[in-house]
Amino acid sequence: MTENFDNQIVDLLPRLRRYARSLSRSMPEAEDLVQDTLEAAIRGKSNWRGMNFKSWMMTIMTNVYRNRHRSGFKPSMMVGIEDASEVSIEIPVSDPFERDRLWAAINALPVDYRAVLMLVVVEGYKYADVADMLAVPLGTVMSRLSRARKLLTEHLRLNNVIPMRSHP
Amino acid sequence: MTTKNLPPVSSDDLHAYADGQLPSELREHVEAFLANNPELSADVTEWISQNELIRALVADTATSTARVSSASKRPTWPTPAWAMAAGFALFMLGAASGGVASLSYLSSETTGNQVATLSVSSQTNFLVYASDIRHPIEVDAGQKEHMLSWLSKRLGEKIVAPDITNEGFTLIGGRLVTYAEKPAALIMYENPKGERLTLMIGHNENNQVTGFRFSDQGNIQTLYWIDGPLGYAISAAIGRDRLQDVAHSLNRQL
Repeated sequence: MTENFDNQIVDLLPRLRRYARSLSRSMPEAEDLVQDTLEAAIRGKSNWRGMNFKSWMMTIMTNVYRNRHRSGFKPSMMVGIEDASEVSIEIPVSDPFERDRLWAAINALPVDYRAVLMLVVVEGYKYADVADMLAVPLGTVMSRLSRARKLLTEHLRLNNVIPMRSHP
Repeated sequence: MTTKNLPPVSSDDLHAYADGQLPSELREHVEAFLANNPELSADVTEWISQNELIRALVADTATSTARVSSASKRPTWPTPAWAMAAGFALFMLGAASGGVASLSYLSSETTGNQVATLSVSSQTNFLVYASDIRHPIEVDAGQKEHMLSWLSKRLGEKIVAPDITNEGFTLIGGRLVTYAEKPAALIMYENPKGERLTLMIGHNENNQVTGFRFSDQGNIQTLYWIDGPLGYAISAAIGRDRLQDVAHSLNRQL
């Protein structure tokens, strides 16, 4: 079982990293989150009773992430220019300014909203599974998702569009 | 199928629709509802587009750092399977010894942070040089051809000084400045009121193309963008609308 546990963790690392990245402001912060999650998983290994391992790990990561923010954890890297920045929304996400703008909007989300949004959108979990993983009612998942989207939209709309690129 | 037999469409249904989690038998019902509710339909479209952007952003950030940091010869994330296993082993070692082993995947956050300094640099150069009444420039407009060939040579890219007389600004000259630790050009204009405007042109290592971005610091406005190998930024204290007009005119000539 121990070997199985370790192998499963190694197999899951890419997914854990992606989820960590979606919750973090920077790569180093995401790496820390992965590391803390692995540590917590190893410590809590005896609590894993062969249930869906991926969901179990995602839940641990979500809890680690929430606890870090609750305990006054301050991310070391700030996205700097969200306050005075504008760019057209039609520009693809490969545009570094647009990427910054989207990250800034995501980084402005409350911790619990962000976790729900990422579990649904990036990790593709069903609403009911997210409710199970976070041990909250389905209605809470839905209201967090809805709030997250509202806040994202508002944050992105704060920036006006400058559609100069389309001019000949 | 009549809508009578179906429950009213809820906000949860709309989210489920956007996330592809709506039971298939309800899809048509929700689509019919959206067809009659353009505002909600716009919301749903926006959520779907946000979903795509977020997925692309997270995936892209994980992979794009490989591009960014391959230039800086640093370990990257994503990592090959063997390295991840090694990283994990390292982690286990650290955990066992009570310490925290660092995986230290130090990589550039986003290329955006680098290019964002364009606006800061442009503002600084404007502040320092445009305010200098007597020596704002090194080479004056009378020697325009000489100035451009000199700046082009120093930057290693063809530099032009766009004509923005239509916007009321005439070229007064240019100087060499630095941007991202490399030579950059600062071209200066002035209008009859004595208001000055600077165009900074610097190297952009990452060779992207961006949209235009605006920043306002104190009373200095800056518009900046990247077009392939060069980054551009214009700064002035003339208000955003007028600066945007100038940018339109100027960009057509670059």
